[in-house]
Amino acid sequence: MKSTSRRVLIVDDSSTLRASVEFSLSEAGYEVLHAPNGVKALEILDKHSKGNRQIGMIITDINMPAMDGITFIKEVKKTTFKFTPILVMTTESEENKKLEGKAAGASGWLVKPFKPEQLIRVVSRFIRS
Amino acid sequence: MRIKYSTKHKLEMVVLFPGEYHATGYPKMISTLLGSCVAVALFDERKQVAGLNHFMLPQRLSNSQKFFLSDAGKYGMYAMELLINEMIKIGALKENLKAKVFGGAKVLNFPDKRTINISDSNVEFAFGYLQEEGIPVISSDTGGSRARHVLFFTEDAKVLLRRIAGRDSDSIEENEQKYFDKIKITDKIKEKLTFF
Repeated sequence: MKSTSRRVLIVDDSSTLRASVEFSLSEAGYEVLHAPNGVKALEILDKHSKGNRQIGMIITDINMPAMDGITFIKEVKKTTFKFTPILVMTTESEENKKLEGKAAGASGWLVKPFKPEQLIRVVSRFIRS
Repeated sequence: MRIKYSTKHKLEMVVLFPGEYHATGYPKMISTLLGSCVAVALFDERKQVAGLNHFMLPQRLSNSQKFFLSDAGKYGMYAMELLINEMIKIGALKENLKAKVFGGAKVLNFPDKRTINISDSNVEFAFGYLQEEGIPVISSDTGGSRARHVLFFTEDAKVLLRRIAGRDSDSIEENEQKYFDKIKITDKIKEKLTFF
């Protein structure tokens, strides 16, 4: 499913990674929101849901404090953002981890490290410009 | 990585080679030989989880760009994240982490403009990354011209450090050169994407 909103939520506990992804996506014309873990990200989603504001795509890490990425994806699927595409962005490349992500409802799995242009290409496949 | 047993310290000893990392929740010794590379020791005293890595950047950091925006910096972030993730899986909390930083001696001589003084970039990256991620550095021994042998005790985060010169240093240089040639190739990152 393709989104139309160019607003992207990044969920990653690494501030350097968030800054790097935010820079690349902003340069490509996306509006970026970010959260350091699943709990904070759900709070952002809740605020946007109440304000009837769209989020075009969610990009999440897996290994995070407070709430891991898989639990976060499952929680998103219980909200009004259940149809929003979720891309997992992680150092984990094992097949069983990917299957966990797929079962939780992720739309894609991108293994770190990646180049900015690779990320932008992936995002553009989910968000219709 | 090689696992040995130290009869002197009565502890398991994990020997790391360039590009490797190890994290544990048990008392062990993690040992590595450093030339131009850096090693970051991380530990969570409360959860008793510790780890060490050994890496270098595939090219020098640029002066005009924040490290996390450059390809070289991204490679370093990846090396750090592998260790941090492994520690979190074992039970560490990121907010408890403290660091010790070692290495970055001027051992490798690269004629290329992109890689000259790469040891300085390795050290600059390690400190920059830890600062941005809010992980305090409680001790360090970096720079200079001599290689180092680092022995990290995971139980109390103590480090025994010895400087190395002469022939012993030659094999370190050789190992690091091999590692550098490998990461230069992997720097051409292939997209690893799966759609569900």
